[in-house]
Amino acid sequence: MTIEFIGIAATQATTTAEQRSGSAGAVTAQSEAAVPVGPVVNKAYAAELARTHEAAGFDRVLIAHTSSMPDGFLVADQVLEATDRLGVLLAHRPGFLAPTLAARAYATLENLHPGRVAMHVITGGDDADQARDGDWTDKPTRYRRTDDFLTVVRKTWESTERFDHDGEFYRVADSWSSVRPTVPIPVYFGGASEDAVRVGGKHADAYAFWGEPLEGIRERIEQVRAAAAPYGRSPRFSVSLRPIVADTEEAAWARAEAILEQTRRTAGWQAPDRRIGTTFGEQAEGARRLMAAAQDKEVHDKRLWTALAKATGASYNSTALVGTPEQVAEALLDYVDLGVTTLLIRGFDPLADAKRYARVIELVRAGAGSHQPVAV
Amino acid sequence: MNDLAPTYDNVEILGMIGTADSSEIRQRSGPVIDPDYTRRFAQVHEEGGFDRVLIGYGSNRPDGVQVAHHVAAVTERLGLLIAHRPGVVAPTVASRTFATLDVFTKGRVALNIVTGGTDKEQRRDGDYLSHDERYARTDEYLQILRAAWDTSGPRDFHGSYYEFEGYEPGVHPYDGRHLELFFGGSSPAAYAVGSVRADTYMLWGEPLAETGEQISTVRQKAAEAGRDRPPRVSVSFRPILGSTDAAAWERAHAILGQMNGAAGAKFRDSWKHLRGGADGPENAGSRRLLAAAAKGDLHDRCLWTPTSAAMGGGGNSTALVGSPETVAAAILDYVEIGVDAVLIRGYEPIEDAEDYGKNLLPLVRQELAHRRRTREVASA
Repeated sequence: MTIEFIGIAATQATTTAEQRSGSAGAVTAQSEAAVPVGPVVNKAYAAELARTHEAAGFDRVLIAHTSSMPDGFLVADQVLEATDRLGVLLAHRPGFLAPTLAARAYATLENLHPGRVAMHVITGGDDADQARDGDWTDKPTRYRRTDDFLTVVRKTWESTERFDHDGEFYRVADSWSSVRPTVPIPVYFGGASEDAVRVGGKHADAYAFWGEPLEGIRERIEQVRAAAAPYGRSPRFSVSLRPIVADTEEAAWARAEAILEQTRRTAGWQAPDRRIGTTFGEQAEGARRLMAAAQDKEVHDKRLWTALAKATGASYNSTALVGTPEQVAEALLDYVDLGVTTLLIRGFDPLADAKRYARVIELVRAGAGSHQPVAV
Repeated sequence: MNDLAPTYDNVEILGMIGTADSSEIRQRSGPVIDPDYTRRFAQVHEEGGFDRVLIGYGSNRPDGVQVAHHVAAVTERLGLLIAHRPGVVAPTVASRTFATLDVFTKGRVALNIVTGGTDKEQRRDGDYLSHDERYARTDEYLQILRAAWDTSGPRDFHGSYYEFEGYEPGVHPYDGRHLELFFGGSSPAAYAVGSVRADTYMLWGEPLAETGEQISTVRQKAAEAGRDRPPRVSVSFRPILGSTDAAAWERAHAILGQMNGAAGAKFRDSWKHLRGGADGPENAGSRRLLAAAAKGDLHDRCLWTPTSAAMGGGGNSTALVGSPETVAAAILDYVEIGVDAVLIRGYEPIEDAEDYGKNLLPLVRQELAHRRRTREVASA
């Protein structure tokens, strides 16, 4: 089977705390253990990071979204221009663009780069960050809005005739787009609450989880499959993890400890509403599950390390697999065995880790050929 | 000398691009987004010496921000004037989008704020506000954009249409520059907002007298609002050139024939919603164009209105017909009454842009330089 690997895009360079010892300051959006260097929008760096991912064998990079970040559509176009086959998973928060316009924007990007665009729908997020962009709805309301939003987006992508829509949040009349995707744009979806699963089951082409222990992922896959079945859908599954790899297992664990130490030193986790966490925020339920796992044990399964999640509040993708490339690949294949076919991996030193992951990706792809997923 | 007398040396020439070969007389045959065509279209404008190109907005069109980003990569200096409708995007999000684009393009971005034309078109994108409310919303929207671009730090906003707390943009326009706002609209509600918020006020090509009236209105409103300088003014036309005036007129009549025939059928149909009921089109700009057309076909030096009447007054649709010399002189007539920019586009999109660049723009620039020098000599 084909395993999809997703990495991360960024527009601002970073340096690790080791490289700039003693430096403090705002933590980068890309890593808890590094500090940003240079302009917020650094075109050359964005291109280099994208090319590094492509060379390492990644299929896509995630383009994240917060209320202070550069516009994702434009970053996506930069990434796609800088590479030949790498795709993007472009995060989008419903509620800030008219769904018809959002659909046209995604379709335009996809027409310029056929087959290389996917949408990651972020609903849960963080109330304070939603309010910065003027959204005051509560989370259950946001999920109902996402449902309505995605319904209009799909109509805009697919309808060859003018359509009307009269939903709880969105109403359009006589709408029709001249620009439609050349191939379907897959919709990725995250969220652990009941509301999330209900809406995600209805709309998701791929359902994304944070890196819980295997048992937790098994549960969640079952839950989402049950929610999707009534709609005749069977989404792919994605797990997000932060591998820490080194040539020996000892070196990897030493690196993990150093990263934890750096994270504690830098200010990132002290300002929880400003860190990368809000980018992928599933907030309450997802964080509760991750924190429960972190409090239960520091290491789950073979090598799922939760200390960083515990230290930073468990409100984002913050669990790590620690070991040699072979060991990390083996641990990733355990998720593949559960039915996971997309692995979102990002590190702590974006450029260097993307290179280090090349071997992991190669090993997982080779291994996945001989693994059989659990029957549906 | 009047402070607002033409300065001649800052006159801008704007064009317009699209993503496929199509116009009132040309039905698109290829894909909606033809990347090669789009690139060539932009490059022709740059090579021809245009200062900027407008990228339009429509409820069925490709996303203009991405079209702008795409053509920026294949041009060096061409300005990108992106039509944008408040009401379909949160203003904070839009502020980041255009700031990001401005940084990636190293300061080539401007916005053309189009508040809306007709209720029907707005509803296609889910906007159900009334005409005057739309302008009230635009007023808030533009204040938010301006502040997000020009100032740093967290801020709150509590308006009638927008409310947010703690917004702190992480990206600002390139190198601290002023990102310009163009603005269109010819209703009282539009004048009230645009005269205060716009850097450049966009008008469609009416006769000189009517254009002068609008310029006066905008200047008066700006003065009432306490602005030091009123907005600059841009006027849009569809020049139809020929090697001689006679050849141009022959071509103009042929184009009108195509518009009214099979070639124009689809386009005429797409403007149907503008025509409205017994009172005519909903939007003041189209009503003004039709009023001018009702007075006669030919105005001033060579402004021709039947092309506009054929499309129900839809959009930039009045023509300047003649040899390059005649049309250049007509453009200068507008400069003399206080116009700072002209937007020109043809009915044969790429071919006309190329023709303008080769044969019309040099004459306009030359005449501007001549009049500037003449005035310098006269006042020396």
